[in-house]
Amino acid sequence: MFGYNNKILIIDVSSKSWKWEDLEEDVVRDFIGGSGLGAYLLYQHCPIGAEPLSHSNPLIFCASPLVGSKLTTTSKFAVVSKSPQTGFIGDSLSSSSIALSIKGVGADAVVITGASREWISLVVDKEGVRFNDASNLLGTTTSATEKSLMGTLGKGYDTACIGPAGENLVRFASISNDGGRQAGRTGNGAVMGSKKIKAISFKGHKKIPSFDENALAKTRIDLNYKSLGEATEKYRTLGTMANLSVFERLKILPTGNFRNQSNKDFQNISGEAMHTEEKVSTSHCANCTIGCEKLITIPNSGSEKVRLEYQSLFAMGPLVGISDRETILKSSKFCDESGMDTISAGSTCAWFMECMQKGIIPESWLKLLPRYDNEEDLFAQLLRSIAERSGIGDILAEGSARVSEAIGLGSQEFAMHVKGLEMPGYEPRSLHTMALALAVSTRGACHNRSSAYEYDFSSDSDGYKQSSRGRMVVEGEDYSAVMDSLIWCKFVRRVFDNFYDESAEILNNITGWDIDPKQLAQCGERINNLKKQFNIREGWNRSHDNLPKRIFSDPLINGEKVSSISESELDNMIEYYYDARGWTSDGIIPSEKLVSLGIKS
Amino acid sequence: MAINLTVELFGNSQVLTGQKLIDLQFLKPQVDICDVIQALGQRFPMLDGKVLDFGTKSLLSSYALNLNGVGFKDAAQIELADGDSILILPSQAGG
Ligand code: SF4
Repeated sequence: MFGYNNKILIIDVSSKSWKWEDLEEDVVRDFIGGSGLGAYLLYQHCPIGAEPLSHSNPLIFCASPLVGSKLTTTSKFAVVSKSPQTGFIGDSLSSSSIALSIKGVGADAVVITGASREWISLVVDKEGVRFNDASNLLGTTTSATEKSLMGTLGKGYDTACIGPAGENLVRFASISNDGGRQAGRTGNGAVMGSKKIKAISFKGHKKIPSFDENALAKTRIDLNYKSLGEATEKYRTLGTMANLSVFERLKILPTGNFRNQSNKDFQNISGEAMHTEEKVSTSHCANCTIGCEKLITIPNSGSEKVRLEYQSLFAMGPLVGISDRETILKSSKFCDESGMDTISAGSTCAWFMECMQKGIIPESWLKLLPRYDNEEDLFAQLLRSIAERSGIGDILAEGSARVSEAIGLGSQEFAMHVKGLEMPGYEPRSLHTMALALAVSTRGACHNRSSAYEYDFSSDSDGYKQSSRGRMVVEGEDYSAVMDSLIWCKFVRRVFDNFYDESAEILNNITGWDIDPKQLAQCGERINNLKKQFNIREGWNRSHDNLPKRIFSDPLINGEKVSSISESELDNMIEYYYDARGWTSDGIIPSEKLVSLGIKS
Repeated sequence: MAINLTVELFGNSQVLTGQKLIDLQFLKPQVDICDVIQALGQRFPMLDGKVLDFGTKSLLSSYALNLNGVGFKDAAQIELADGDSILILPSQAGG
């Protein structure tokens, strides 16, 4: 099979053994790679009801057919496990050289099972798999871990690792690779920590032939050229930080734990202000022509730099009601170095700070609070205590969903999560297609698995009916599933005139298949149905597709404009969505539907 | 009769010009987006080819228009009135 190694590397860290298994062509024709293949392998390797932080939850790294093609933005991989935040499917994507190395060692996917008794660092290269002692790396930051392994292993190894947060099983711990890129969401870093794996390094340069190298070479040139045009201007110039000032002006920037009552001006932390007033440089993932990554030199920190994008800027700033630039940059850097998802970390702190303001923290917890001088200091100390699981941080490391259930006193109503995953920086009371997508996403409150905001930002958005929003979210999810499985970076999407046509042709030129655009779109549908079926198997029910109560009870009032969404409006949209998916009104997938998609229960 | 408009710039358009807000005055009874783009072009030539296309008097596809902070509009749909704010912002919403 062209484009694939046709191999899965299975590593059992309990017995410290490993083996290769064949990857059947049927499977990748159905699930492609990346997050689709990851979902398939999770379904196979995760026992029903597995506790996410136990030896039975597999941790899966997946490359894709486009990895190694040198097409722009395709050096990406997916990490998949049962999420310790949601108890459902947890998948996150990250990028750069390590994706090439995973494929370079001869694997399309690596499935890690079991749990080690002592801390280890895995090394995968042409010798096979080594299980090295990692006790000397404990407590080290993500960048120090990478650097240390680079020193001991020598040139050519690419490493994914966890920081102290992952070691301490912070439920929203991330996995870091290639100098600070993060597989951030859903807590895969905690799963890695529960297996006592500090790091996994790959070295391999195996080249996988493509079916039609000449056609690919032409596509490469064409895409490179187009990727430097108007379709990617925002990402190339200011990066995604550009969202902040726009969202603030349009009153769709969630602030102060989605209370949006802040009088603060966030203009001084806008992408525009950062670019004019701070030292900003651009960086690229491997094989990317766009370069959306903006590295900002942190003031008063020597030459220390932080990779900043909109969601981290939002979560370390407006979400917690902080507008101090230095605090935001340092907090974001701290999360990256400790290996924590910025959105969940910021949101959990924002919820806790609101509880403090409301005076509903249990007496016994108050004693666990760090000393602090002001709000900014409190936030920084909370982040530190979470990563260390010290004092109050040991509680907050469980995430806003679990801790709000423990406190009660109405605090669940303003814990801003869906299914246990905290909400990103898009305002669902104004962006109703996004509201639906956040509610129904299989991985919890996620903006990336549907890109539904695109519909809300279009010139027709005012006239959308609820039924159209249901259909749009289905379209957006299926399209995103194909992107995340091939894997393209989302920021290249507008470069395509016709995504499915062009992607099918590229996939055929890589694999030698004859897949048509419709079949490719159906892969997206199949992948989303499989993810949902996994969740159903793990106890999903209709009540999990919802939004936090605050979204319904607190409308946004800006002068004469009131933005709101009611529970019944959301319910209606969810019904339309289930209908468009061909599911029952309870959101269950009928067996005929599974059969028609070739999914065996 | 004069029509006074404010143009609010976002993203790279703001960085290129160094301006967040630009006041424009038109001494005629009706103004459309082409007039606004022409006026912007005269004052800020650095926007040509980066944000605007002066030749066709239109925005590049990397930018979108919003009137008074409410809803997104195609240029043809926009009717301008005295006191309006026209937001020029990046059309890509991702991130
Ligand atoms: S656009 Fe950004 S995130 Fe996407 S591949 Fe390029 S540098 Fe990486």
